[in-house]
Amino acid sequence: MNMQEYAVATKNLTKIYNTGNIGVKSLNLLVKPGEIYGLIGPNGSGKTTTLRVIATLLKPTSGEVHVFGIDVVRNPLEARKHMNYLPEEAGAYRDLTGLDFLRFMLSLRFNGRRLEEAISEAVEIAGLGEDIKKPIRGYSKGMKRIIALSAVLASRARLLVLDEPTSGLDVENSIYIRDRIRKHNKEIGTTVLLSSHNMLEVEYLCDRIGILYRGNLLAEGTVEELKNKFAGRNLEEVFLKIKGAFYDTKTSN
Amino acid sequence: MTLRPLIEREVKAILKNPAFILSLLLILVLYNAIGQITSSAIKTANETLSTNEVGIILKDPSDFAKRIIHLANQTAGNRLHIVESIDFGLNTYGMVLIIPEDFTSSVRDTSKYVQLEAYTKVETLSPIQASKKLSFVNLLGELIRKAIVISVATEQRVDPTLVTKPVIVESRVRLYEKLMNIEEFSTISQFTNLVVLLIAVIIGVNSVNAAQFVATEKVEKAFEMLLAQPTPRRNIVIAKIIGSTFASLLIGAVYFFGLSSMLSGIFPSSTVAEVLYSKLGTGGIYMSLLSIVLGLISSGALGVLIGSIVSDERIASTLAFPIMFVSMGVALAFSYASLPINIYTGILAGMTLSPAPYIILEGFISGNTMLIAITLLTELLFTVVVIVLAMYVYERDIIVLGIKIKGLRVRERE
Repeated sequence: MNMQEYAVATKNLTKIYNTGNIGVKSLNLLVKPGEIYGLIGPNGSGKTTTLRVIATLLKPTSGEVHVFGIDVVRNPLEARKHMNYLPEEAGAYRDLTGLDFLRFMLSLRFNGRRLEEAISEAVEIAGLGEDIKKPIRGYSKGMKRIIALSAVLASRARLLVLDEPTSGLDVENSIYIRDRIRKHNKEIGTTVLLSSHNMLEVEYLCDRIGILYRGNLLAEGTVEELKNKFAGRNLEEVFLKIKGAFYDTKTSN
Repeated sequence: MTLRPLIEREVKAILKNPAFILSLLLILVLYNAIGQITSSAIKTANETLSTNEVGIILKDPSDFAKRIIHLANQTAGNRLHIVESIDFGLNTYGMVLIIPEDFTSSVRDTSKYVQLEAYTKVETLSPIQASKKLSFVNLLGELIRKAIVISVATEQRVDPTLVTKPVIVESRVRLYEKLMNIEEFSTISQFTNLVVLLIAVIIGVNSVNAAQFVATEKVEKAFEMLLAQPTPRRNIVIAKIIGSTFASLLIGAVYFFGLSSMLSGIFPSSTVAEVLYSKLGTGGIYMSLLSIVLGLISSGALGVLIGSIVSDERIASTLAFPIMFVSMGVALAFSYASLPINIYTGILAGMTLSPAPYIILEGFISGNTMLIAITLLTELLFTVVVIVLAMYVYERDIIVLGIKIKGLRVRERE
């Protein structure tokens, strides 16, 4: 396997916490450049752990992780130049205005004219009108998430790692965020690796899907492939069947 | 009806917080220890006082003056010794009383009062130790006054209660090798001791602020976004430390200005700045300022470190507040309990930050460059270690997950 061919490539990625909890176990994940890949699974399945390791926030216990061929453990700073990360329930600094927050975050990547262009793009993505000049402490949860996502999208990183980008948001804000992610992927060719609880969201947004359960990648493929393979009418049914099969295997072992 | 469960819930939440309990214990233990040290210091000062000996320079060669000193010496238990020079007297006995040439004529002249001059050797800025020593000067004045009264009453064969003769002792202090009047000494002593406490408070507040600031960033969920940016983590650490130091310097400057104004109001004969510059010189002031800045950097780094390993502001403050207690406790022990000033206490001061400027000032006044160097080096080393530790933490999982303390939730969910 040539790691450089993939936007994200993990090889036997394992993360065991100091408490003994297994975050993720021997994960082999390949995300192709330009695709939107969704990790789905219940709470505690290892989605956030996987994304945090890829985003260089956590170090793996064993295994390898490469982003565009760059080893994220050995060269995290270089890897971070090629990606950006939106944490779960991402917010922003309350004391700043939306505009100041965008300027601050983007100034860590750009300067000069390129910085001003990136800020303009982020302001356009956020679509908050005059509210962009108001302090973030007055923003709704949806507005905070949109401003954080705008900073991430406007960074034009080759890979976006998005942890539950729409979790806890209302329908309107969720649709807006999904559309922006999709638009960014189509127009710029950015690779997106996201996690979600929301099967409908993943079905709508993702080119390929990986189903994680208790740190194990149980299945992987396009939505249609998974539906056909597991004879499910939708992803929720597919997930339940895969989970059932996982337990059957465990019991028989 | 509904108030009781609400109050119970609040009280239980406080009492079940181990960090809160730890803070309470720390206050009890620390201040009890300070009390013990202070009590011991007062006892030592009293013991020293009870064995104090005094050099007497007798400029008045009259028999009357000799008789007065003889009488006073008998009353004082042979603790007065005739000496030739101030230096010799101070070096040998720590205190010198000068009987002036016009002593006898002043006693005889009913319109005059007797004016004596006293020199006290003080080798501490501690108000407890210094005030005990300086109060001995007044006892000495009273001793001479009584000897005069008895001698005059005996000579004139009158009731001693009918004889009045005011005796005024003009007191001067030799602080290490620097000679100053009592007002100047009080200014320096009060200022340095207030400054030590002030620095302790600022250092404590700085740690708490820095810890809370980082923890707030985590609560706002912007922290992980920041960590994922292509900027070296050490830059994030350094920026946070510089930010907290800058804020503290601003607070400190305002406090110092206020303090100097206050003390200049108390001692209007000269401003605090004038006294400090004239008696300590710019070198001592700059060295102390360097020490203060190092203390602020260290405390900021400690705060950043604490904020980095907790999950919210509440826990950040609970863990950072003990730094303030320790800082204030040690400062009090140094300034009021008068811990001995030597290399070991220099190292202790360098590691606990707040007393370091005090020790450096003492070192500067006494000309003990080794003490200054050791204190500054320890402080510098401590600062570097804390910064390096903070940088190390920023590269580890702890920064995201927090640390695990049994019974205290300082970590994020995995």
